[in-house]
Amino acid sequence: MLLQVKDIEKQYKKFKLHCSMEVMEGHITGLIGQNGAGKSTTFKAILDLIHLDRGEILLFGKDHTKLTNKEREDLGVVLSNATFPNRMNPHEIGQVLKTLYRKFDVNDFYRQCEKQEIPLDKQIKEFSTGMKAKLKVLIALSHQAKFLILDEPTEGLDVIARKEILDLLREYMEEEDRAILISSHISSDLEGLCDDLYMIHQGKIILHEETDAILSRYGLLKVDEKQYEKLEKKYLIRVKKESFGYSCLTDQRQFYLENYPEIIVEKGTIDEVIEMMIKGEKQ
Amino acid sequence: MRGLIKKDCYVMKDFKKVLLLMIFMVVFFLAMETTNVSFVLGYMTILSGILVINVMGIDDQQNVNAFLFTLPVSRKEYIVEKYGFGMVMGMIGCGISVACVILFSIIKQMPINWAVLLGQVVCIIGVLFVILGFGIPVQIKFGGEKGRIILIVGVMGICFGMVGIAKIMRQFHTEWIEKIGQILNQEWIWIVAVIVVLAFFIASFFYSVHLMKKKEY
Repeated sequence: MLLQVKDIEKQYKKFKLHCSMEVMEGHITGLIGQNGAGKSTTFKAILDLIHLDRGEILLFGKDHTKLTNKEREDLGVVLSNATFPNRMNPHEIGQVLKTLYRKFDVNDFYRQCEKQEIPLDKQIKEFSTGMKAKLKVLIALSHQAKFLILDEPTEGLDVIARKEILDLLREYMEEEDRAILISSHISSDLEGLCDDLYMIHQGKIILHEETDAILSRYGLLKVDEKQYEKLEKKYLIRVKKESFGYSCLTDQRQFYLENYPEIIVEKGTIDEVIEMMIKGEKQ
Repeated sequence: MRGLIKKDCYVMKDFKKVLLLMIFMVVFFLAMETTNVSFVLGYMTILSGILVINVMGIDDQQNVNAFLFTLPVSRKEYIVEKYGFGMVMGMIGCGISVACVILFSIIKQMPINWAVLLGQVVCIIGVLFVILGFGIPVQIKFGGEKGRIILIVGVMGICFGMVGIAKIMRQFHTEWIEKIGQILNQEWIWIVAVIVVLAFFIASFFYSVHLMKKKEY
Protein backbone atom coordinates (compact mmCIF):
# COMPACT_ATOMS: atom_id res chain seq x y z
CA MET A 1 0.00 0.00 0.00
CA LEU A 2 1.51 3.31 -1.02
CA LEU A 3 -0.90 5.51 0.90
CA GLN A 4 -3.04 4.93 3.96
CA VAL A 5 -5.11 7.77 5.35
CA LYS A 6 -6.47 6.56 8.68
CA ASP A 7 -9.38 8.46 10.17
CA ILE A 8 -7.84 11.91 9.86
CA GLU A 9 -9.52 15.01 11.21
CA LYS A 10 -8.87 18.68 10.59
CA GLN A 11 -11.18 21.35 11.91
CA TYR A 12 -11.51 24.79 10.35
CA LYS A 13 -13.98 27.50 11.32
CA LYS A 14 -16.78 26.36 9.05
CA PHE A 15 -15.46 23.09 7.69
CA LYS A 16 -14.27 19.79 9.07
CA LEU A 17 -12.31 17.17 7.19
CA HIS A 18 -12.80 13.65 8.48
CA CYS A 19 -11.88 10.81 6.18
CA SER A 20 -9.98 7.64 5.47
CA MET A 21 -8.65 6.26 2.20
CA GLU A 22 -6.06 3.97 0.65
CA VAL A 23 -4.12 3.82 -2.58
CA MET A 24 -2.49 0.59 -3.73
CA GLU A 25 0.38 0.00 -6.14
CA GLY A 26 -0.72 -0.38 -9.72
CA HIS A 27 -3.90 1.63 -9.10
CA ILE A 28 -5.20 4.97 -10.22
CA THR A 29 -7.48 6.23 -7.47
CA GLY A 30 -9.75 9.18 -8.01
CA LEU A 31 -11.05 11.65 -5.45
CA ILE A 32 -14.11 13.40 -6.76
CA GLY A 33 -16.36 16.01 -5.24
CA GLN A 34 -17.84 19.44 -5.66
CA ASN A 35 -15.84 22.61 -5.21
CA GLY A 36 -15.21 23.06 -1.50
CA ALA A 37 -15.86 19.40 -0.68
CA GLY A 38 -12.38 18.87 0.80
CA LYS A 39 -10.32 17.43 -2.04
CA SER A 40 -7.45 19.93 -1.82
CA THR A 41 -7.55 19.85 1.98
CA THR A 42 -7.15 16.07 1.89
CA PHE A 43 -4.18 16.40 -0.44
CA LYS A 44 -2.59 19.08 1.72
CA ALA A 45 -2.96 16.78 4.72
CA ILE A 46 -1.27 13.92 2.83
CA LEU A 47 1.57 16.24 1.74
CA ASP A 48 2.09 17.59 5.28
CA LEU A 49 1.19 21.13 4.20
CA ILE A 50 -1.37 21.27 7.02
CA HIS A 51 -1.26 19.73 10.49
CA LEU A 52 -3.82 17.13 11.52
CA ASP A 53 -5.95 17.35 14.65
CA ARG A 54 -6.30 13.56 14.75
CA GLY A 55 -5.47 10.45 12.76
CA GLU A 56 -2.53 9.07 10.88
CA ILE A 57 -1.23 9.11 7.33
CA LEU A 58 1.24 6.52 6.09
CA LEU A 59 3.07 7.29 2.85
CA PHE A 60 5.27 4.47 1.53
CA GLY A 61 4.50 2.72 4.82
CA LYS A 62 5.94 5.55 6.91
CA ASP A 63 4.51 8.45 8.91
CA HIS A 64 4.05 11.15 6.28
CA THR A 65 5.68 13.79 8.51
CA LYS A 66 8.88 11.76 8.84
CA LEU A 67 9.76 11.15 5.20
CA THR A 68 13.37 11.89 4.33
CA ASN A 69 14.31 13.95 1.27
CA LYS A 70 15.40 10.71 -0.43
CA GLU A 71 11.95 9.16 0.14
CA ARG A 72 10.24 12.32 -1.11
CA GLU A 73 12.00 11.82 -4.46
CA ASP A 74 9.49 9.01 -5.06
CA LEU A 75 6.62 11.51 -4.99
CA GLY A 76 5.42 13.57 -7.90
CA VAL A 77 2.96 16.33 -7.06
CA VAL A 78 0.67 18.72 -8.86
CA LEU A 79 -1.08 21.36 -6.77
CA SER A 80 -3.94 23.32 -8.28
CA ASN A 81 -2.69 26.75 -7.20
CA ALA A 82 1.05 26.46 -6.63
CA THR A 83 4.18 25.82 -8.69
CA PHE A 84 7.58 27.39 -9.31
CA PRO A 85 7.81 31.23 -9.29
CA ASN A 86 6.13 32.64 -12.38
CA ARG A 87 9.28 34.52 -13.42
CA MET A 88 11.12 31.25 -14.02
CA ASN A 89 11.10 29.43 -17.35
CA PRO A 90 11.14 25.66 -18.02
CA HIS A 91 14.86 25.71 -18.80
CA GLU A 92 15.60 27.13 -15.34
CA ILE A 93 13.11 24.75 -13.71
CA GLY A 94 14.98 21.85 -15.30
CA GLN A 95 18.24 23.12 -13.81
CA VAL A 96 16.65 23.31 -10.34
CA LEU A 97 15.05 19.86 -10.59
CA LYS A 98 18.41 18.42 -11.68
CA THR A 99 19.85 19.28 -8.28
CA LEU A 100 16.83 17.98 -6.34
CA TYR A 101 16.19 14.57 -7.90
CA ARG A 102 18.75 11.86 -8.59
CA LYS A 103 16.57 10.21 -11.23
CA PHE A 104 15.79 13.43 -13.08
CA ASP A 105 16.91 13.46 -16.71
CA VAL A 106 17.14 17.10 -17.72
CA ASN A 107 17.45 16.44 -21.46
CA ASP A 108 14.42 14.16 -21.40
CA PHE A 109 12.49 16.87 -19.51
CA TYR A 110 13.39 19.45 -22.15
CA ARG A 111 12.41 16.98 -24.90
CA GLN A 112 9.01 16.38 -23.25
CA CYS A 113 8.46 20.13 -22.95
CA GLU A 114 9.18 20.59 -26.64
CA LYS A 115 6.94 17.64 -27.51
CA GLN A 116 4.11 19.31 -25.59
CA GLU A 117 4.89 22.64 -27.27
CA ILE A 118 6.04 24.29 -24.04
CA PRO A 119 8.65 26.95 -24.87
CA LEU A 120 11.77 26.49 -22.75
CA ASP A 121 12.78 30.15 -22.61
CA LYS A 122 9.44 31.73 -21.86
CA GLN A 123 8.49 32.69 -18.29
CA ILE A 124 5.62 30.78 -16.68
CA LYS A 125 3.66 34.02 -16.25
CA GLU A 126 3.40 34.28 -20.04
CA PHE A 127 1.99 30.74 -20.43
CA SER A 128 -1.61 29.92 -21.24
CA THR A 129 -3.61 27.93 -18.66
CA GLY A 130 -3.12 24.78 -20.70
CA MET A 131 0.64 25.21 -20.93
CA LYS A 132 0.91 25.82 -17.17
CA ALA A 133 -1.11 22.68 -16.44
CA LYS A 134 0.97 20.56 -18.83
CA LEU A 135 4.20 21.92 -17.34
CA LYS A 136 3.06 21.04 -13.81
CA VAL A 137 2.29 17.47 -14.90
CA LEU A 138 5.59 17.16 -16.76
CA ILE A 139 7.44 18.30 -13.62
CA ALA A 140 5.62 15.64 -11.59
CA LEU A 141 6.40 12.97 -14.20
CA SER A 142 10.01 14.00 -14.78
CA HIS A 143 11.82 12.07 -12.07
CA GLN A 144 10.51 8.48 -12.16
CA ALA A 145 8.30 8.96 -9.11
CA LYS A 146 6.56 5.90 -7.69
CA PHE A 147 3.48 7.79 -6.61
CA LEU A 148 1.78 10.79 -8.18
CA ILE A 149 -0.52 13.02 -6.16
CA LEU A 150 -2.36 15.28 -8.58
CA ASP A 151 -4.79 17.93 -7.36
CA GLU A 152 -7.04 19.02 -10.23
CA PRO A 153 -4.38 18.64 -12.92
CA THR A 154 -6.88 19.30 -15.72
CA GLU A 155 -8.66 22.28 -14.21
CA GLY A 156 -9.48 25.04 -16.65
CA LEU A 157 -8.41 23.04 -19.69
CA ASP A 158 -10.23 22.38 -22.93
CA VAL A 159 -11.14 18.87 -24.04
CA ILE A 160 -8.06 18.34 -26.21
CA ALA A 161 -5.61 19.55 -23.54
CA ARG A 162 -7.31 17.36 -20.91
CA LYS A 163 -7.02 14.32 -23.16
CA GLU A 164 -3.31 15.00 -23.69
CA ILE A 165 -2.67 15.13 -19.97
CA LEU A 166 -4.69 11.99 -19.29
CA ASP A 167 -2.69 10.22 -22.03
CA LEU A 168 0.54 11.22 -20.27
CA LEU A 169 -0.79 9.69 -17.08
CA ARG A 170 -1.78 6.45 -18.79
CA GLU A 171 1.69 6.23 -20.26
CA TYR A 172 3.19 6.79 -16.79
CA MET A 173 1.16 3.85 -15.40
CA GLU A 174 2.60 1.38 -17.88
CA GLU A 175 5.14 0.49 -15.15
CA GLU A 176 3.39 -1.73 -12.62
CA ASP A 177 4.61 -0.60 -9.23
CA ARG A 178 3.37 2.95 -9.64
CA ALA A 179 0.17 4.60 -8.46
CA ILE A 180 -1.74 7.83 -8.89
CA LEU A 181 -4.10 9.67 -6.61
CA ILE A 182 -5.93 12.25 -8.68
CA SER A 183 -8.65 14.70 -7.77
CA SER A 184 -11.12 16.42 -10.00
CA HIS A 185 -14.63 17.76 -10.10
CA ILE A 186 -14.86 16.67 -13.74
CA SER A 187 -16.19 13.13 -13.58
CA SER A 188 -15.61 12.31 -17.24
CA ASP A 189 -11.85 12.71 -16.71
CA LEU A 190 -11.84 10.17 -13.91
CA GLU A 191 -14.34 7.74 -15.46
CA GLY A 192 -11.96 6.67 -18.19
CA LEU A 193 -8.82 6.78 -16.06
CA CYS A 194 -9.40 5.59 -12.50
CA ASP A 195 -9.62 2.08 -11.13
CA ASP A 196 -11.52 3.20 -8.06
CA LEU A 197 -13.17 6.37 -6.85
CA TYR A 198 -13.65 8.09 -3.54
CA MET A 199 -16.47 10.59 -3.45
CA ILE A 200 -16.07 13.36 -0.91
CA HIS A 201 -18.70 15.78 0.33
CA GLN A 202 -18.40 18.32 3.16
CA GLY A 203 -15.13 16.77 4.25
CA LYS A 204 -16.44 13.20 4.48
CA ILE A 205 -16.07 10.22 2.14
CA ILE A 206 -19.60 9.34 1.08
CA LEU A 207 -18.76 6.52 -1.30
CA HIS A 208 -15.81 4.36 -2.27
CA GLU A 209 -16.28 2.00 -5.19
CA GLU A 210 -14.48 0.56 -8.18
CA THR A 211 -15.15 2.65 -11.27
CA ASP A 212 -16.25 -0.37 -13.30
CA ALA A 213 -18.75 -1.28 -10.59
CA ILE A 214 -20.22 2.22 -10.61
CA LEU A 215 -20.57 2.16 -14.37
CA SER A 216 -21.92 -1.40 -14.61
CA ARG A 217 -23.82 -2.12 -11.37
CA TYR A 218 -25.06 1.28 -10.31
CA GLY A 219 -28.28 2.56 -11.77
CA LEU A 220 -30.87 5.27 -11.38
CA LEU A 221 -34.51 4.22 -11.05
CA LYS A 222 -37.21 6.71 -11.92
CA VAL A 223 -40.55 5.65 -10.45
CA ASP A 224 -43.91 7.16 -9.63
CA GLU A 225 -45.57 6.86 -6.20
CA LYS A 226 -47.34 3.57 -6.95
CA GLN A 227 -44.24 1.96 -8.40
CA TYR A 228 -42.20 3.14 -5.44
CA GLU A 229 -44.59 1.51 -3.00
CA LYS A 230 -44.18 -1.86 -4.69
CA LEU A 231 -40.41 -1.51 -5.14
CA GLU A 232 -37.96 -3.78 -3.29
CA LYS A 233 -36.05 -1.26 -1.17
CA LYS A 234 -33.29 -3.57 0.04
CA TYR A 235 -30.96 -2.51 -2.78
CA LEU A 236 -31.71 1.21 -2.74
CA ILE A 237 -28.81 3.34 -1.51
CA ARG A 238 -30.40 6.76 -1.83
CA VAL A 239 -33.87 8.05 -2.64
CA LYS A 240 -34.83 11.55 -3.76
CA LYS A 241 -38.30 12.97 -4.08
CA GLU A 242 -39.04 14.35 -7.54
CA SER A 243 -42.02 15.98 -9.21
CA PHE A 244 -42.83 12.73 -11.01
CA GLY A 245 -42.32 10.54 -7.96
CA TYR A 246 -38.88 9.34 -6.86
CA SER A 247 -35.35 8.93 -8.17
CA CYS A 248 -33.59 5.98 -6.54
CA LEU A 249 -29.93 5.07 -6.63
CA THR A 250 -29.12 1.38 -6.56
CA ASP A 251 -25.97 -0.70 -6.83
CA GLN A 252 -27.97 -3.65 -8.14
CA ARG A 253 -29.23 -2.28 -11.42
CA GLN A 254 -29.52 -5.76 -12.99
CA PHE A 255 -31.89 -6.93 -10.23
CA TYR A 256 -34.33 -4.14 -11.03
CA LEU A 257 -33.97 -4.63 -14.78
CA GLU A 258 -34.92 -8.27 -14.40
CA ASN A 259 -37.63 -7.96 -11.78
CA TYR A 260 -39.24 -4.63 -12.62
CA PRO A 261 -39.31 -4.43 -16.42
CA GLU A 262 -41.94 -1.69 -16.30
CA ILE A 263 -39.85 0.89 -14.45
CA ILE A 264 -37.23 3.21 -15.96
CA VAL A 265 -33.76 1.98 -15.04
CA GLU A 266 -30.87 4.11 -16.26
CA LYS A 267 -27.18 3.40 -16.14
CA GLY A 268 -25.60 5.46 -13.38
CA THR A 269 -23.06 8.03 -14.49
CA ILE A 270 -20.62 9.25 -11.94
CA ASP A 271 -22.21 12.70 -11.86
CA GLU A 272 -25.61 11.20 -11.15
CA VAL A 273 -24.22 8.92 -8.46
CA ILE A 274 -22.56 11.92 -6.79
CA GLU A 275 -25.74 13.96 -7.00
CA MET A 276 -27.82 11.19 -5.47
CA MET A 277 -25.26 10.49 -2.76
CA ILE A 278 -25.30 14.17 -1.80
CA LYS A 279 -28.95 15.12 -2.29
CA GLY A 280 -30.71 11.80 -1.77
CA GLU A 281 -31.84 10.38 1.55
CA LYS A 282 -30.23 7.27 2.92
CA GLN A 283 -32.29 4.09 2.90
CA MET B 1 19.76 23.06 -0.75
CA ARG B 2 21.60 23.70 -4.01
CA GLY B 3 18.21 23.58 -5.73
CA LEU B 4 16.87 26.31 -3.45
CA ILE B 5 19.93 28.49 -4.05
CA LYS B 6 19.55 28.05 -7.81
CA LYS B 7 15.87 28.89 -7.60
CA ASP B 8 16.56 32.07 -5.64
CA CYS B 9 19.30 33.09 -8.08
CA TYR B 10 16.87 32.70 -10.98
CA VAL B 11 14.24 34.76 -9.13
CA MET B 12 16.88 37.41 -8.34
CA LYS B 13 17.43 37.97 -12.08
CA ASP B 14 14.44 40.29 -11.75
CA PHE B 15 16.40 42.45 -9.35
CA LYS B 16 19.36 43.00 -11.63
CA LYS B 17 18.13 46.53 -12.46
CA VAL B 18 17.90 47.26 -8.74
CA LEU B 19 21.42 45.96 -8.19
CA LEU B 20 22.79 48.05 -11.07
CA LEU B 21 21.01 51.10 -9.65
CA MET B 22 22.58 50.47 -6.24
CA ILE B 23 26.05 50.25 -7.78
CA PHE B 24 25.34 53.44 -9.72
CA MET B 25 24.27 55.20 -6.49
CA VAL B 26 27.46 54.03 -4.77
CA VAL B 27 29.66 55.26 -7.62
CA PHE B 28 27.77 58.58 -7.75
CA PHE B 29 28.10 59.12 -4.02
CA LEU B 30 31.80 58.22 -4.01
CA ALA B 31 32.42 60.57 -6.93
CA MET B 32 30.98 63.39 -4.77
CA GLU B 33 32.35 62.40 -1.38
CA THR B 34 35.06 59.95 -0.36
CA THR B 35 35.85 61.01 3.22
CA ASN B 36 32.75 59.57 4.88
CA VAL B 37 32.07 56.19 3.34
CA SER B 38 29.83 54.65 6.03
CA PHE B 39 26.71 55.50 4.04
CA VAL B 40 28.04 53.69 0.96
CA LEU B 41 29.12 50.62 2.92
CA GLY B 42 25.82 50.46 4.80
CA TYR B 43 23.64 51.14 1.79
CA MET B 44 25.07 48.44 -0.47
CA THR B 45 25.55 45.82 2.27
CA ILE B 46 22.12 46.10 3.84
CA LEU B 47 20.14 46.40 0.61
CA SER B 48 21.97 43.42 -0.94
CA GLY B 49 21.39 41.34 2.16
CA ILE B 50 17.70 42.03 2.41
CA LEU B 51 17.04 41.08 -1.21
CA VAL B 52 16.50 37.62 0.24
CA ILE B 53 13.50 39.00 2.13
CA ASN B 54 12.09 40.23 -1.17
CA VAL B 55 12.54 36.74 -2.61
CA MET B 56 10.68 35.30 0.39
CA GLY B 57 7.92 37.82 -0.23
CA ILE B 58 7.59 36.64 -3.82
CA ASP B 59 7.54 32.99 -2.69
CA ASP B 60 4.78 33.86 -0.26
CA GLN B 61 2.66 35.93 -2.68
CA GLN B 62 2.75 33.29 -5.41
CA ASN B 63 2.24 30.39 -2.98
CA VAL B 64 5.53 28.90 -4.18
CA ASN B 65 6.35 27.46 -0.76
CA ALA B 66 3.32 25.16 -0.80
CA PHE B 67 4.79 23.53 -3.90
CA LEU B 68 8.43 23.71 -2.72
CA PHE B 69 7.63 21.65 0.38
CA THR B 70 6.26 18.82 -1.77
CA LEU B 71 9.72 18.54 -3.37
CA PRO B 72 12.71 16.92 -1.57
CA VAL B 73 13.20 20.11 0.46
CA SER B 74 12.69 20.30 4.20
CA ARG B 75 11.41 23.40 5.97
CA LYS B 76 14.60 23.62 8.01
CA GLU B 77 16.71 23.53 4.82
CA TYR B 78 14.62 26.39 3.46
CA ILE B 79 15.45 28.52 6.51
CA VAL B 80 19.15 27.59 6.45
CA GLU B 81 19.26 28.59 2.79
CA LYS B 82 17.54 31.91 3.39
CA TYR B 83 19.84 32.96 6.22
CA GLY B 84 22.88 31.81 4.27
CA PHE B 85 21.73 33.51 1.08
CA GLY B 86 21.07 36.76 2.95
CA MET B 87 24.54 36.70 4.53
CA VAL B 88 26.26 35.87 1.23
CA MET B 89 24.37 38.57 -0.68
CA GLY B 90 25.19 41.07 2.06
CA MET B 91 28.88 40.13 1.95
CA ILE B 92 28.89 40.48 -1.84
CA GLY B 93 27.30 43.92 -1.50
CA CYS B 94 29.85 44.81 1.14
CA GLY B 95 32.69 43.56 -1.05
CA ILE B 96 31.48 45.62 -4.02
CA SER B 97 31.17 48.78 -1.90
CA VAL B 98 34.63 48.28 -0.31
CA ALA B 99 36.11 47.75 -3.79
CA CYS B 100 34.44 50.99 -4.95
CA VAL B 101 35.76 52.87 -1.89
CA ILE B 102 39.31 51.66 -2.53
CA LEU B 103 39.04 52.43 -6.24
CA PHE B 104 37.82 56.00 -5.69
CA SER B 105 40.40 56.61 -2.97
CA ILE B 106 43.10 55.62 -5.44
CA ILE B 107 41.58 57.75 -8.20
CA LYS B 108 41.28 60.77 -5.90
CA GLN B 109 44.71 60.02 -4.38
CA MET B 110 43.30 60.00 -0.89
CA PRO B 111 44.83 57.86 1.87
CA ILE B 112 42.82 54.88 3.14
CA ASN B 113 42.58 54.41 6.88
CA TRP B 114 42.40 50.61 6.86
CA ALA B 115 41.64 50.30 10.57
CA VAL B 116 38.67 52.64 10.33
CA LEU B 117 37.47 50.97 7.13
CA LEU B 118 37.71 47.53 8.73
CA GLY B 119 35.85 48.78 11.81
CA GLN B 120 33.10 50.20 9.64
CA VAL B 121 32.81 46.94 7.67
CA VAL B 122 32.52 44.91 10.88
CA CYS B 123 29.83 47.27 12.24
CA ILE B 124 27.85 47.18 9.00
CA ILE B 125 27.96 43.38 8.87
CA GLY B 126 26.71 43.35 12.45
CA VAL B 127 23.82 45.61 11.44
CA LEU B 128 23.15 43.27 8.48
CA PHE B 129 22.94 40.31 10.85
CA VAL B 130 20.51 42.20 13.08
CA ILE B 131 18.30 43.22 10.15
CA LEU B 132 18.25 39.67 8.72
CA GLY B 133 17.64 38.30 12.20
CA PHE B 134 14.65 40.59 12.55
CA GLY B 135 13.39 40.61 8.96
CA ILE B 136 13.35 36.88 8.12
CA PRO B 137 11.09 35.75 10.99
CA VAL B 138 8.86 38.80 10.41
CA GLN B 139 8.48 37.79 6.76
CA ILE B 140 7.66 34.20 7.73
CA LYS B 141 5.13 35.21 10.38
CA PHE B 142 3.35 38.01 8.52
CA GLY B 143 4.03 37.11 4.89
CA GLY B 144 4.49 39.15 1.67
CA GLU B 145 3.34 42.74 1.82
CA LYS B 146 2.61 42.92 5.54
CA GLY B 147 6.04 41.53 6.41
CA ARG B 148 7.82 44.11 4.22
CA ILE B 149 5.86 46.96 5.81
CA ILE B 150 6.65 45.75 9.32
CA LEU B 151 10.33 45.44 8.43
CA ILE B 152 10.48 48.96 6.97
CA VAL B 153 8.57 50.39 9.94
CA GLY B 154 10.78 48.46 12.37
CA VAL B 155 14.04 49.60 10.80
CA MET B 156 12.80 53.19 10.51
CA GLY B 157 11.65 53.03 14.11
CA ILE B 158 15.11 51.95 15.24
CA CYS B 159 16.80 54.66 13.13
CA PHE B 160 14.48 57.44 14.36
CA GLY B 161 14.81 56.14 17.89
CA MET B 162 18.58 56.32 17.72
CA VAL B 163 18.52 59.78 16.09
CA GLY B 164 16.04 60.94 18.74
CA ILE B 165 18.18 59.65 21.60
CA ALA B 166 21.29 61.30 20.08
CA LYS B 167 19.44 64.64 19.80
CA ILE B 168 18.21 64.47 23.40
CA MET B 169 21.69 63.67 24.64
CA ARG B 170 23.24 66.53 22.65
CA GLN B 171 20.59 68.91 23.99
CA PHE B 172 20.34 67.89 27.64
CA HIS B 173 22.89 65.28 28.59
CA THR B 174 26.20 65.99 26.90
CA GLU B 175 27.99 64.20 29.78
CA TRP B 176 26.31 60.95 28.65
CA ILE B 177 27.91 61.35 25.24
CA GLU B 178 31.34 61.49 26.88
CA LYS B 179 30.59 58.48 29.04
CA ILE B 180 29.33 56.50 26.02
CA GLY B 181 32.48 57.49 24.12
CA GLN B 182 34.63 56.20 27.00
CA ILE B 183 32.74 52.90 27.10
CA LEU B 184 32.99 52.47 23.34
CA ASN B 185 36.76 52.93 23.55
CA GLN B 186 37.01 49.79 25.67
CA GLU B 187 37.91 46.71 23.68
CA TRP B 188 35.68 44.40 25.66
CA ILE B 189 32.52 46.23 24.56
CA TRP B 190 33.12 45.21 20.96
CA ILE B 191 33.59 41.58 21.94
CA VAL B 192 30.31 41.75 23.91
CA ALA B 193 28.60 43.41 20.93
CA VAL B 194 29.76 40.64 18.56
CA ILE B 195 28.58 37.96 21.00
CA VAL B 196 25.19 39.66 21.47
CA VAL B 197 24.67 40.05 17.69
CA LEU B 198 25.65 36.43 17.00
CA ALA B 199 23.43 35.18 19.84
CA PHE B 200 20.52 37.22 18.45
CA PHE B 201 21.17 35.87 14.94
CA ILE B 202 21.27 32.26 16.12
CA ALA B 203 18.13 32.71 18.25
CA SER B 204 16.41 34.28 15.23
CA PHE B 205 17.39 31.28 13.10
CA PHE B 206 15.88 28.78 15.55
CA TYR B 207 12.76 30.89 15.92
CA SER B 208 12.39 31.01 12.13
CA VAL B 209 12.71 27.20 11.94
CA HIS B 210 10.01 26.91 14.61
CA LEU B 211 7.71 29.33 12.73
CA MET B 212 8.25 27.56 9.44
CA LYS B 213 7.51 24.14 10.90
CA LYS B 214 4.23 25.42 12.33
CA LYS B 215 3.14 27.18 9.14
CA GLU B 216 0.27 25.74 7.11
CA TYR B 217 -0.38 26.21 3.41
